[in-house]
Amino acid sequence: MVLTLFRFSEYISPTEGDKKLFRLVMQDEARHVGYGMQHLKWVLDHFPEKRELIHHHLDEAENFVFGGGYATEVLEPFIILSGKGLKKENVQEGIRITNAFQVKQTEEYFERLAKCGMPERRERSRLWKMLELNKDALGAA
Amino acid sequence: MSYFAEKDFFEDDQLIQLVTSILEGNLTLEWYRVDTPRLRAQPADIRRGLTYDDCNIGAYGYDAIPEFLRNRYSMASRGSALVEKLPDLGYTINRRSDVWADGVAALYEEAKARRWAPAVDVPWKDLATERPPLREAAMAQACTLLEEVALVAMEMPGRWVFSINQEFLELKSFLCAQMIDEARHVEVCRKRALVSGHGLGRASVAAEQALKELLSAETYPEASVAANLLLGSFALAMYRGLAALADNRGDRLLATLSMQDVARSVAYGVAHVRYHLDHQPARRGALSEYLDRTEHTVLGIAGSPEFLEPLVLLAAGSRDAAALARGAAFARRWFGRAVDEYLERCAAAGLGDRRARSVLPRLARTLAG
Repeated sequence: MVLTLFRFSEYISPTEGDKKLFRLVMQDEARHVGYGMQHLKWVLDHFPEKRELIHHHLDEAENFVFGGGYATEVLEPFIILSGKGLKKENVQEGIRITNAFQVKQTEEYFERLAKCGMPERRERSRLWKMLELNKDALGAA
Repeated sequence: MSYFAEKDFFEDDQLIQLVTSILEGNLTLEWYRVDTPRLRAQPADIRRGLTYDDCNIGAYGYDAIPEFLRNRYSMASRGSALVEKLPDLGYTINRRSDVWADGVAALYEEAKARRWAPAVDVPWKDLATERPPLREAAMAQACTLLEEVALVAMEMPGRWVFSINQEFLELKSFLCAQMIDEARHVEVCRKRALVSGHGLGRASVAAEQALKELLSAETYPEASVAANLLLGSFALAMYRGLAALADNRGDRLLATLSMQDVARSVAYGVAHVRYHLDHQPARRGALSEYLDRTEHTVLGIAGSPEFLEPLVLLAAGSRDAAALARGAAFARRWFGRAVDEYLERCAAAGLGDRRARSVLPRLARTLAG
């Protein structure tokens, strides 16, 4: 989730300096994600009985992610930066971009889990259900 | 999990209503009206870039950290506006003079500026040619022991960093840089042993028991004295010994680049003890007693046969009696000098003249004959 967050931050950065900052952070975060995916895959390959335990852990962890991702301290600056201003049309554009980013962020997370050997995560995740609602809202807009 | 957020966010109607409202264009902008100082950090020297010293401004700076942290235990950025219900992360080291050192932010900056990569910065091809078997065996054994030392030096900051309040963010970052430094030493020593063709040597029971004793320090100031001042001083001497005896550029670089890293830990160790004792002078006695009972460990590490014999052999260059006598003389001088330097650092740190109470000078004299 954080990796996509930094990619989005790079995308909406107003200056080249900010873009570079986030690009370099992404480079580091990508290593962490790479390790995390390989490690999860290894655990599932060698200890398949842990699958249910991991699901339980993700049930709670995804709750944190949802609470953190939608905090006003994150959401509103993103809307302003991606809409490039506070005028009504800017805010509307910012909401559209931020919404699309959040859909992409969540989809990428579930794609990674699927690659690690947990494709069934989508069906039992409340985060995925929220994503479906978000997609509906995007479609309606 | 041992901590759960106070709400299940998925079931939090208030949050969902708020988010819905924001996504309809009704921004709260509460964060925009926050009352924190409007200060701008600027690089003092453009060649160095924007350093932590440049960010030492007002309430955001490390100069503003109080001696006792009484109300900041969360993950909030230092200087940010605190709100209610921020979770307590359970830090147990919350006193500035227990961890701080003047110059620690600059040491952290230096650790990043002088980073090096064993894979490419050591000219391994210089070591790929046929080399004297005795020297190679000695280097492989010395590097086996130095890898053990580096593993413990890597673990020591890791044992403490999670317990230290993150208001001390520059110090915590320095501890992370120490871990990276030591991971690099693990790597370079392991690679040097393997490139020798001799493989890794023998583990040292004396060194490992001594290292475990250092790792088991019960307070952070004791751990810092143990790892940075005591172990760091002798690790610095061990790398310097290898640098002095190197017969090729690869070994010399391996040792001198490692020295550069260890010297930062020693610098932090000296400055930390000095800061600690300036603010808590009553701790001088306790730290001195800690060293009284802990200094024996350096004999188990630097004086272990698994390091000392390779050092003698590297200095001797051969196994004939006269050469070995020269090698042994080198090792005695080396140990005496390492003890002298360590005691000088203790004095500089504010621990006074330990020559009278430390067992190390007597030991060095005995070894010198």
